[in-house]
Amino acid sequence: MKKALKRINVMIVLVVLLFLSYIEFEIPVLDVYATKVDASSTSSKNPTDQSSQSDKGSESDGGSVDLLARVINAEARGEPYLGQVAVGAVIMNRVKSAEFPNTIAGVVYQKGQFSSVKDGQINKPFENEAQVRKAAQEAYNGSDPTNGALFFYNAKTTTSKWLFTRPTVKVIGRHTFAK
Amino acid sequence: MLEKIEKNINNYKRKFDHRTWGILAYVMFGIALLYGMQMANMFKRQKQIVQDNYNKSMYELVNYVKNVEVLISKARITTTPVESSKTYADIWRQSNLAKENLASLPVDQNAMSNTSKFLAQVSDYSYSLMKQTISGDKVTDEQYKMLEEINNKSDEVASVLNDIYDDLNNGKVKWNEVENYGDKKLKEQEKEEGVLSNISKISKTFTDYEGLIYDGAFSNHITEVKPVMIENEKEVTVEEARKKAEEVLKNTKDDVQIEYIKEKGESKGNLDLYLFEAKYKNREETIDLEITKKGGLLSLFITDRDVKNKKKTEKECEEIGKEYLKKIGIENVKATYYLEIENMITINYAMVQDNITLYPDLIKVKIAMDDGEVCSVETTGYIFNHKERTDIKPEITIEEARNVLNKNIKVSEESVAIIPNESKKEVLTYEFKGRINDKDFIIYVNAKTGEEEQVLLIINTPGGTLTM
Repeated sequence: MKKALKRINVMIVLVVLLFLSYIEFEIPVLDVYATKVDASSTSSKNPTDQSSQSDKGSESDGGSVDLLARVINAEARGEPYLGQVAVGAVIMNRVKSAEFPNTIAGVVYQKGQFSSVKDGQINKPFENEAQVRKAAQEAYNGSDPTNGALFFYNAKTTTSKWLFTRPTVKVIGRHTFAK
Repeated sequence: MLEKIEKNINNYKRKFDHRTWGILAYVMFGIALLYGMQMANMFKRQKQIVQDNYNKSMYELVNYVKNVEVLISKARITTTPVESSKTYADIWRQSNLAKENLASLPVDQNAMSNTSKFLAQVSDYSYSLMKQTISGDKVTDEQYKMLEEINNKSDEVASVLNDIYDDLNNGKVKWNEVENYGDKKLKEQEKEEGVLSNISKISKTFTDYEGLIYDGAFSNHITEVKPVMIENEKEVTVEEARKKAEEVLKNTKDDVQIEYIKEKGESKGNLDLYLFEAKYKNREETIDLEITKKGGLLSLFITDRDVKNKKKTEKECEEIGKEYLKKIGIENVKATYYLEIENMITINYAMVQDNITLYPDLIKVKIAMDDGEVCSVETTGYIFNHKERTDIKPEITIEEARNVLNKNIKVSEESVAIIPNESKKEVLTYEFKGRINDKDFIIYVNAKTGEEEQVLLIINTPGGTLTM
């Protein structure tokens, strides 16, 4: 009798578990990279940005510049202004190049091109939004501090040997820009 | 008796322990198993969705390339303008779609760059042919020869893609392996086979085709463009370039105090440049400057700071920018457009020659609207395009050009301008700014042929204003 009861208990537990497992859990994404970068960039963060930004933040002048700003925010957080414009300029250069897709979204979401797209960094909230937006607009307008670069990488962390074979155009902040 | 009870209790305790641990272990195991299975299933499903998408892109790519091949053959035998332009339009569309699908495959960028370039060039070549046939011009023998060439190439592309297509049909293509290529997880031998090597194979066959196409936005003469203005100038020394940098900074506003200007090396890219970094006294942000080696011209000067409020108007800034450009040696400019963002205004200036606006010769100046300090200047448009234009005589009168326009349009301003077309060739045009149905338009009418060259609708973006 007791044994049978035990069995039933276990069965109930299992059924409950089965139900539980069907509930969609939101899986927390590990975010090691973000915290690492945040720590280094907090020093340059300007608390006054938010106030001056609040009215303009909701204004959007075409999704392309917004997307550009997102990539810059994700790829070049804590970089100098020039470095941020440069990341935007690489994307614009790719749009102009025949070897890459012809739209900003196409370039940004091309498989395996930007680590920030792969690991979801691109959806992170803005940090120092005013500066990032200015940088995005500057790149969108055609300023190109990279002198025509199509690639950029962090020389310290990149594992792709192929990138090292590309002629380096310039180094800005932690990024190396190459053609 | 007492012993018996004690024994019983102990026994019961032990039993209880066993039972709870047993159940607990069972439950834990159950949770782990179920969760694991669930995750595995989810992963499988997601993976399948992704793979299906890749497969779809691959199938479509193959189809589009095949279609392009067929259409090119067709284009060579069609003779009527309507039929030909339809065919070219189709080539244009299909090759564009092919390129889009290629870009969405998880293939190394490196391996497919030439294929992508080929598709882009086919696409805009057929676009320019389409425009040509629509305007009534016959396709020349030379252009036919070019089509022949493209046809041969797309033959090759199609045949390689066909191999991949077969692999795909046989279920041999494993996209995750292809994706891992970048991670260097595959053995050398594995890299030699499969989709990836097939796609790189296509790229390898392109070496002899480089530089064949002369029309369209992606043609080689555009992508490897030379800076017209300074091409024949001689190189300046670092010291001269530094002097130029100083001049550039000195004039950004009244009483500028430069703390230092230091060399940051050189850069070889579209332009050969000397790089400088500078800093003002009492300012934290550094300034970056690029001076061309040839001719020692300012190519880019860029800095940023917070601008809290707006004290200058757009008009005042326009004047400041003009004055500034004059001081650094650029005269005869006209503001064409400005854009405000974060209390900074970016003004686009175009060069002017004999009252003709030269839109390709573009200079951008960014000014802080609080004290009118010049914060950025970018002159690549100017450096790459500026020269004394010689062919500036319109062949039709402005009245004739006006007759081309839609009758309902109310023209508010008109002038002569040189604009670049898609293949970056310069076109002399009459520029009309007007209004129709509450929408502002700018219409460019070719001053030689009297055709509408470009119609622009002015969309008022926040902060952006067109000045003419």
